[in-house]
Amino acid sequence: MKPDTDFNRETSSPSVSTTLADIFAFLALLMRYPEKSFFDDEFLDTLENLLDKLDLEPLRQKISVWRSSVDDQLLDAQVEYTRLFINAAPHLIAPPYGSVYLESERSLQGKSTETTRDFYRRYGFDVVNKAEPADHITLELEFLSCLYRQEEITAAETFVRTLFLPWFEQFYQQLMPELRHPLYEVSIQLISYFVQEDQ
Amino acid sequence: MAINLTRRNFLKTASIAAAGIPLSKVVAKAGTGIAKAPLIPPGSFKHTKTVTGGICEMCFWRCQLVGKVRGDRLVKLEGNPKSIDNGQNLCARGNAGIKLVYDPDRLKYPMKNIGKRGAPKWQKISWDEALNICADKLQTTIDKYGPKGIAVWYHGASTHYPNAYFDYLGVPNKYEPAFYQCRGQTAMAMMQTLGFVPNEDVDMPNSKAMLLVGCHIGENIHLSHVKNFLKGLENGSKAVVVDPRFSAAAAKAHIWVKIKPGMDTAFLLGLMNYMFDKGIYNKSFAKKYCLGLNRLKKHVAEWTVEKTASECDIPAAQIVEVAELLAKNAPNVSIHPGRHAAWYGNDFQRVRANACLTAILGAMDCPGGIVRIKRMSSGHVHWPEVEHKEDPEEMALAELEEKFPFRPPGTPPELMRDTMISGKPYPIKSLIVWGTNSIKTMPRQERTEKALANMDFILVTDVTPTDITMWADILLPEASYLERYDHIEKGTQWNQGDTPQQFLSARMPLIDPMFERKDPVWMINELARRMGHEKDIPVKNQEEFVNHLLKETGLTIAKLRKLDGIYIQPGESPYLKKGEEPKFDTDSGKIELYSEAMEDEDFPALPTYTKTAEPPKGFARMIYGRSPVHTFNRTANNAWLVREIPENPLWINDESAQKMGLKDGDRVFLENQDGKKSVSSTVVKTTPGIRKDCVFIAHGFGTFNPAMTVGYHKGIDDNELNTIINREGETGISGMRINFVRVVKDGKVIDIPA
Amino acid sequence: MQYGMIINLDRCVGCHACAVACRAEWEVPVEFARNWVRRLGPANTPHGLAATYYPGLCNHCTHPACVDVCPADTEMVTFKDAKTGKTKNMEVAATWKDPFNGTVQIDKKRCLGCGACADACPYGARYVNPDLADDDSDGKADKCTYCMPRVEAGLQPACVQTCLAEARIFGDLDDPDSEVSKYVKKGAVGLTSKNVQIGPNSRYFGNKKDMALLMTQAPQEMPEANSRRSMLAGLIKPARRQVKSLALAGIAGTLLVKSIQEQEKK
Repeated sequence: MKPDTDFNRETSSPSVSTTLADIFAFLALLMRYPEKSFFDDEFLDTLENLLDKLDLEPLRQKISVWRSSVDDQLLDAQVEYTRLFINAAPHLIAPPYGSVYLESERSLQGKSTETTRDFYRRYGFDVVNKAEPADHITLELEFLSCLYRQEEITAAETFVRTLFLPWFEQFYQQLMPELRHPLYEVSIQLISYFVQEDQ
Repeated sequence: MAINLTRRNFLKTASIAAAGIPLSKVVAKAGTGIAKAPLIPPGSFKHTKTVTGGICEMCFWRCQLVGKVRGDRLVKLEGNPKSIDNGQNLCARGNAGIKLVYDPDRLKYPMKNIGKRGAPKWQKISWDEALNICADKLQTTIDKYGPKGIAVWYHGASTHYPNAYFDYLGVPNKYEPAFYQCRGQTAMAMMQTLGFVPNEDVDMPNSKAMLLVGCHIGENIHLSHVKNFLKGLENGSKAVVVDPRFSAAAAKAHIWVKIKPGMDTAFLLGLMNYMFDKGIYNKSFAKKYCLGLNRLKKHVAEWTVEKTASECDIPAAQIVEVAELLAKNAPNVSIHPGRHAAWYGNDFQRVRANACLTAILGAMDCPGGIVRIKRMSSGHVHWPEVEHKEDPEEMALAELEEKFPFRPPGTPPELMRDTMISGKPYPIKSLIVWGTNSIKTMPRQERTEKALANMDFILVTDVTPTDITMWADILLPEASYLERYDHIEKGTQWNQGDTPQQFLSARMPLIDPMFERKDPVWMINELARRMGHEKDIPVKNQEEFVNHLLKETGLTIAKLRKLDGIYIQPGESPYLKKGEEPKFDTDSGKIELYSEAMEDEDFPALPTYTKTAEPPKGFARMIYGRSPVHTFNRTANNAWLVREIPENPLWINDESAQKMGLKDGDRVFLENQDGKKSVSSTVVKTTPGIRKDCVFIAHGFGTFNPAMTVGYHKGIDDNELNTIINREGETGISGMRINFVRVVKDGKVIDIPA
Repeated sequence: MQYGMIINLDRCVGCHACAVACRAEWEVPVEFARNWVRRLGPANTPHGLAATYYPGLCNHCTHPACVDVCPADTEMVTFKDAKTGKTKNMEVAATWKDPFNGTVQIDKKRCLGCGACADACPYGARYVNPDLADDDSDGKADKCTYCMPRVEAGLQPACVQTCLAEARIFGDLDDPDSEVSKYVKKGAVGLTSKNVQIGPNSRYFGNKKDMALLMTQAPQEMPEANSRRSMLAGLIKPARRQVKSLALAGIAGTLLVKSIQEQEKK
């Protein structure tokens, strides 16, 4: 690959890995069930700010329009989150767990969940709340954040390539036709953006 | 849609930190779900630990299990090697339990319906909020209408503790499908006749002949029961199966009585008449222990072999053959009491006839007969007795209306549903549904929907999003049978002919519940606290609950755990010892062939056949049964079981099918006599193994909640085609084989030839 | 020694526990089965109305059709008799018939996933399991092993252990005193037909009418040898490697961040 001199110059700050750690932690939050404790104006301002910095004005506007058109943004986000990811009528759209997509039958706690957790453990991490399967998208994103914070960049890239992307792509496909809510439309695109390989 | 910017470019423009976005600040507020842990190397594939103390509840036979657990993950379920009941064996459903545990469609968190009943929109809420709403709504109902304003529909072991609390509240109307759509008449009519409820304790392994009237053995896989049946066959017992259909049991039987549907009572009366006529019944037993023998003889005299043969549409010689076989081998014959009995709306009388046949053969308390198995006993948990303004027993609808004197425990469901719709004799405004998919259990679903629409509040607790959950206002996720403590299972070695042993096991979790699923003791205690009943809470948690149930046995959870989940002690043979007299806990102390109590209530004092309606022209009777890998609708979303048997093929007589132009595998809908068409379809199975006047499908299919992504619309729901209701006066139970169907293929209605 | 299994149809009640226990034991993807149950009848047979079941699994045939078609490079493998400790060297491809216990096994590491063996089996006992895909293949051939890893650990095969009817009996067909041999003497037979005679070692026992119904399930023809498929598989292998290295080159992009780090260190 041709070295990109601009790139090298601009990012010579030591905070690249830390920045990625922050970004993945933020992405993880976006995929967490919205709760009062963090889901507030500051959180949504941050999202808009991030979109702004990314030069994604159309997406930022979507968020902004949604914020001004919905009174109770927390409730609105909760209902949509429940519909997309927890339980819903007519049916759950896309359970956010790797094993549901990685294995040929839809199941939680599959072989791949074990593999995922083993990967966490290999780098010295484990899931705090054992009640959630280890391959919940939020946990995987948080794990990536942790790896970046420890500058385990190869490990992070391996994790993305071998365990995250293989299911995230199917998850994205499954969600796509149902991604009507601006918050989740933007969130999923953001995640996709940060984990896709550069072409 | 896709973002047209690569990450590289983004990183090029600015680091986010430098851009002043307070990401880390926002993130820090929320805390993290991943923490540093000691570095443990991943375990090898085979490294599992065996967790004991499991009790299956994929069905209600409750085999004893162990779990193979690796890390946090339950990998496999096996029969507990220590079990003297199911041993190391499990059926398909037992094996597939892990698919229930890890079903992504399962309920995970408490949810509030902010949409409509039947078309819900869910918001995940906290337990605190959910329970506050429940307490508030239930209290409002009680304040306005008294506890009788609450109704409860329940099923399964997890409802033991909740029911104790609802009793404490003074709720008078509770309904359990296990009685009202299944075993109610079997229990009550046996009780009325013999003075005890034999359940299915019938000693098939040691019998010389077996009579199964419409039993589903082999399709209804109750593990040790099937073992008993097979052992009987292996030991040379001659099996007679009476069924309009060549069932799994019929395929193994020596005699298949291809009876016309609805005629079973007549068949039993005919058998008795032949035995009386020829004097080949068990005279000494009948004379000594039965009340009303002569009256019964006279009563059945009209059922000559010829009349019985012509009414039942079977060869006369077959009646003689069966009667001779049973009489010759009496008393060592298994007259199976049956299990599911809600067939034709005259079923109490059929079970009475069955009990009378058992009695005149003396087929009880002896090898091969009905046996009174001696099990250990365990306790109950009660909330303190409290005074209610209105006595709940008197306020129970059937009591108030002086109806259905021989009903099983609880309130007949249709009676309750009528009240929920009409508000008479008093309003019922809150409904608690716990572990039962009542939309699928009660005939006439549109009436159920109407009743549900009339409620001020509906609380549903379940494991999976069954159809009824769509009507909940608050939906609570329950820990499954593999994730909680509750049931105490008691029994003996499976073959009563073997050395007598007794066992006791208490259900213990094999794994921790995931997400925010909770056990019922926790749920009820938290609810009780919010309703101001904290001081009366009898047990603190589920472990204490089970230890309380175990108290009288001297066992505890800890002790059971040390015993690999099962306590075993020497037992007692259920056969009478030489010279020992049998006892019957009836009014007269004898077996009541003739029942005064029934006469007092204006019912026939002797078992009586009443005609069931014939199919209209072009229709056949819809009979239903079980699929061996499913438990009603409870397993409809289990991917492994659905793989084995995905839908319920429509059994139709091959000659009829040919006339109708149907062949195996054709996809069809059904339409009933009232023009009600099935929502989903199934495949045709043409066979000589069914009569022409009926068609058969297995029950539990045709799920209509799309949240059950595996089972959705697979097969046909027989119950949605049950629009005729025929409640029998004795029990208030409606028959469910009294509806008639024809076939719809490619939009065309096809009559079924007679 | 020749391991074999007897299925006693007089006892089988068609509960499907065998199929599900096997699936749990070996995490078989739901679209495939190592162990299956087909429900037969009620149908008329020359001996009367019958309804029975076809619980099927790999027959570990005496003359397996699946072994010789394997296109993987052969290797010298040392086999060991679990009982006597005797060893034997044999040149085998990725699937073989064990010279000591008679079972037919697969080396998943060397399997190319071409599916030639699955095509060759007249019983449909093999499948290509996509869950086992690696960089060299889209999956690996898979099937019933007679639960050899369990048997070696002193356990019964999973399907035998769970069978409530005790309809499945596992043992050595070469031992005349074994229960399975006794069943063979009583008339237990494999699913064979005029053109399919490869010595199946999973055998069935039952009454005349049930056996008549079961025999309708016997394959009537050997599958046509698909030599093209196995040839292709051999060709594809190096090609795949090539593709894989190309893919690795593509991944260089994702290593970018790391290279930055390295730059920084300099």
